[in-house]
Amino acid sequence: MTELTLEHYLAVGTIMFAIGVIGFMARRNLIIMFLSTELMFQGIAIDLIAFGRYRLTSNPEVFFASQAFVIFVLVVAAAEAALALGLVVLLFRQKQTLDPQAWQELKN
Amino acid sequence: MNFLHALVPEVALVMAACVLFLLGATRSLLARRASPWIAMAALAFVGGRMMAPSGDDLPSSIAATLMSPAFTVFIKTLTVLVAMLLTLLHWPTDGSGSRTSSLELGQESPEYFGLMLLSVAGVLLVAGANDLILLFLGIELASLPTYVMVSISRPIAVAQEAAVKYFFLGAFSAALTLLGLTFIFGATGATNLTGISNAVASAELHAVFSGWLLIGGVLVILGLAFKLAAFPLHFYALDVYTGAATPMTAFLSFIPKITGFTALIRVLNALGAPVAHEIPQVYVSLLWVMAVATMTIGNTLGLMQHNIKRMMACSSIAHSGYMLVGVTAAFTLTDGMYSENGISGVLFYLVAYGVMNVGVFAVLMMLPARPDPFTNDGKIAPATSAETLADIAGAGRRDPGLGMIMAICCLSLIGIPLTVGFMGKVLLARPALEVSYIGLVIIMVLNAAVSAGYYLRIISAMFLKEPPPDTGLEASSETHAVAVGTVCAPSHMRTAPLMFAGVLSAGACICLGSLVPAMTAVRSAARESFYIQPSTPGIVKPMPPQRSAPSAIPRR
Repeated sequence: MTELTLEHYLAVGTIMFAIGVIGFMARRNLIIMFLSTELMFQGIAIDLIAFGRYRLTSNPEVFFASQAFVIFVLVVAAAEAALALGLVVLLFRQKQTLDPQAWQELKN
Repeated sequence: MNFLHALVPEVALVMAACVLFLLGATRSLLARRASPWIAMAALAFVGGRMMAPSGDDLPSSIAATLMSPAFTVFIKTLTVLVAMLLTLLHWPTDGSGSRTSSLELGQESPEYFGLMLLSVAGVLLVAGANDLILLFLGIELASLPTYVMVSISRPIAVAQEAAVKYFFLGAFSAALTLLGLTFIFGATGATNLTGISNAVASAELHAVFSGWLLIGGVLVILGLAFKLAAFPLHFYALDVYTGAATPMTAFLSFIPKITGFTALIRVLNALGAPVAHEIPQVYVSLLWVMAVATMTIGNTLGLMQHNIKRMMACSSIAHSGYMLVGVTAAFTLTDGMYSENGISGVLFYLVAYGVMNVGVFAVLMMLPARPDPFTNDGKIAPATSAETLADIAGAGRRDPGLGMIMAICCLSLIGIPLTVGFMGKVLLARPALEVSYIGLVIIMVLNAAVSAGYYLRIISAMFLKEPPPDTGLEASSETHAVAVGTVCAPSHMRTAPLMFAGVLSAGACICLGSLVPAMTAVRSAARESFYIQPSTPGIVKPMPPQRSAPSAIPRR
């Protein structure tokens, strides 16, 4: 068994981010697209924690800074979630569909 | 306590926003009528504080030690002043008045102004942020309210469609920016921009982390491109600006842009300039490409539009491109020195763009609309203002005052001499010439010439075209008014706040462009805001030679 290094955690976080990007581009459902952006944020949170933990011995302040950063990121993600659900529900009430393709009135 | 003292402007705005949200819960018309005044008072208070000298010993997260404190003050003052102009544009009308204004008393106006103040508070945070966390929070605080504002600015489906588009792309770009900030943090081990700058200058970083740092910077630039409406993430602008109410469009074309440029300058500055560390050539090349693509795409799309709000969206994209020219030049090293005119050129142009843009929207809002092109289930949706070239046909003949304001602002947007737009473009081209980006300047001048094509169409529609007799201005507004069941007289369109905003911005366009004292005052304020930099070329440290070749930051 090889030891887990910084690269492993960064790989997990960045792959989560990449999955989020792909989901955002490929899916045709507003809720799923929003969940994809959430996945991107959570991937970033893993990256942040990994970078902080990597420097725990050399510079503990970085560790705490990364934790503080992550908490703020989670708060922003939660605020965006509240906003997204509100906006999506408003749209859903008008056409009873979550497909972004159904909304093309601005493309004329 | 120092920390709180430094944050008084932001805290004041947020508290005023809370008061407005509480007012929104009441049904009293008086309370709602007070809402724009409360917003204005809060902004005036903050603006007054900007003039006063600030405390000395600030915490390092907002101390702005990397940038000169004058930079922070300049951005904050500019933001507050333009926000006051924008508040005038948003001034709600009485429910029985015209519907050219997007807001009516009795609707969501207190909430709307509350969100506006929150967004402005976000910009102020970004202006003062010397820390990645604060920078990110500021960007998000400036952005999140705008999504809601787009949605509630018009009670029709297109506004909500625009809001959802704007929000989703905004969340995506926020994630990109955040990933970039994370990589920068990870590579340098600091959230403080001063710490980042020191770490970048130190040698030990480059062995392990230079690749992460490089990717981080690129991601931040790309993510912020959304805020600027610049090249890779510019395409949302046309739809979103059209879907939002007209005053909201004015808000969208300025507030996110100043947020983006402030954040971009701060991050790039930490990654390169103040310790005489060479900024990676990749960033400069990327900015160069973005500047060229943004200008060209913006102006080319602008030529194809018939809707003035779409034109102004293209204009907003193009102007981001012009300002990116200044940013590119500012972070290009020549003879071991950064051009000190780059950042001040961008700051001057932000002032110029702020005033000339508001004027166009003020005139648009004073002109009545035809029945809104976006109808919902056959009903006529409330139009917010004139939108198409046909709507404004002949308006300059009918009302020369409006025509003059529009003409001055459009000529300034083109960059005709004696207007502020011309001075702004000269000040952007100068640093680019200093670092011998001849090609970039030529492309910029060509673009300014191309942009005349669509701005002159607006002016010619106002002055040279006759209003069609059957669907003349009064006729259309009357049928519209009957359709929505309100009495609508043209005199209501020219509300005092709108006229005031229009005259102010047109006057500023002329004064800043042709009155030398006013011009030099703004210029010297912008020049003071230049980042602290090494004074002599001798200080410039060479890049550490022991960097490993494959992961090294490329040299120029």
